[in-house]
Formats: sequence, C-alpha cells, structure tokens
Amino acid sequence: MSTLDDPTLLTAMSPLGFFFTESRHGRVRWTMCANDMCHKNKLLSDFFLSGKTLPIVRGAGQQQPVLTLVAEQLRDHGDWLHVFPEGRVRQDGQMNPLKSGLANVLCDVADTKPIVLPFHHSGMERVIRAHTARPMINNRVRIVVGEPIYLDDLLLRCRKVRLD
Amino acid sequence: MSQGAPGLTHLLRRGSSVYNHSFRFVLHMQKGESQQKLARDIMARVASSMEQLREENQRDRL
Repeated sequence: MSTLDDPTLLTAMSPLGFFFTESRHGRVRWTMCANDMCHKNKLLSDFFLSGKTLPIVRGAGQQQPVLTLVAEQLRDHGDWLHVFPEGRVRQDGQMNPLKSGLANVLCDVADTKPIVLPFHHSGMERVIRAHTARPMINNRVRIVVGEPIYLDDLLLRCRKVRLD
Repeated sequence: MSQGAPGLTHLLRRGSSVYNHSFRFVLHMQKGESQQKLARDIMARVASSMEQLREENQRDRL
C-alpha cells in the first residue's frame, strides 16, 4: 500500500477517458482522505475536493457529517464510493483490522442494494515507499479484483433495524 | 381524599413519563446494539473476502 493508491490504481484500471469526462457523466468515484493530510490548507483542499475527495477526521467516530454526505450521494445518485476500510497505510503485506464506518454507510443506503466490489493489490509499497514522495519506476503492481460480496441478508436486517 | 387525588394523579403521570422515557431509552439502546452487531457482521464478511483476495494475490506472486 502507499499514499497514492487512490487515484493511481483506479486510473490504471479504468479507461483513459473516464476520468477526463467526469463533467459529463459524473460517475468518477467519491473517496475520503484525512483532513490533516489532504485538507491542510485552502489550495490542497480545493485540489482534492475537485477530485471528489472529501475530508474525514481521524478518530472522530462514525457520526461525522462527511459520512452522511457520502451516504446521501450513494442513495440519491447511485454514486461510486472508493474506500480503504483499513483506514491506514501498511507496507508489510498484512492487513489492518477493517473499520466499521463503511458498514454503517452501507446500512444507511441498504434500500438501494449497494454493490460492494473488493480488490486487493500489492506492489505499490515499492512504488511509493514510506515517508518518501518520489515514485520508483520498474516495479510490478498486482491487482486481484474479486466478485461482488453477497450482503443481501445483512442489508435486509439493516432495513428492519431502521424501520424499528 | 379530595386533596390527595391530584397528588396521586401527578405521581402516576410522572411515573408514566419516567417509564416511557426509560422504555424509549432501552429501545434506543437495543437498536444501537443491533446496528453495531450488524456493522460487525458486514465487516467480517468484507474482511473474509479481502483475506481470500490477499491469499490469491500472494499465490499469484510466487
């Protein structure tokens, strides 16, 4: 993993014109980035916001307005949200425990039957090493895209909880 | 008796109000716990899928 996994991997996996025609189709992903990294000042903030990257506050819990905003975008517009649910970059090939904020967003939009498409990648830790900003060339990056995760039964329970 | 009745009514109303608040609070707590449990279940399924993909990715690399 590295700090540039999004948007580099998604750009590499998508047709070239997809990101450049965002103003027409509006289907480029939403994502979130820690406010102390991507929204440190007005210039950075404007840059990341125009790339549909919203500020999230580390450690501020799951009741943050940004999560409500994201849920609204998914529910009302059928948009695409890209998240790394581990929440932190790790470069030893292991995964951190997943945070449950994603599950709450999914529960909030359970009516729309959201699709969760997982993918795992390795090799980006050699492209952008920890604490450096200089990309290294001639490295192989491997991405495995899985099948959509079956969540219908759990989302049905979400709907019931919300109705109660 | 005529003086005691309003006091008793007040007491009953107050007791009823406290009961209603407590009942709603318990319902709220149950709902919260249920949503938390659901969130854990969802993330467990996502984590399981991610772990399979990670193993597949590692096998491909070897």
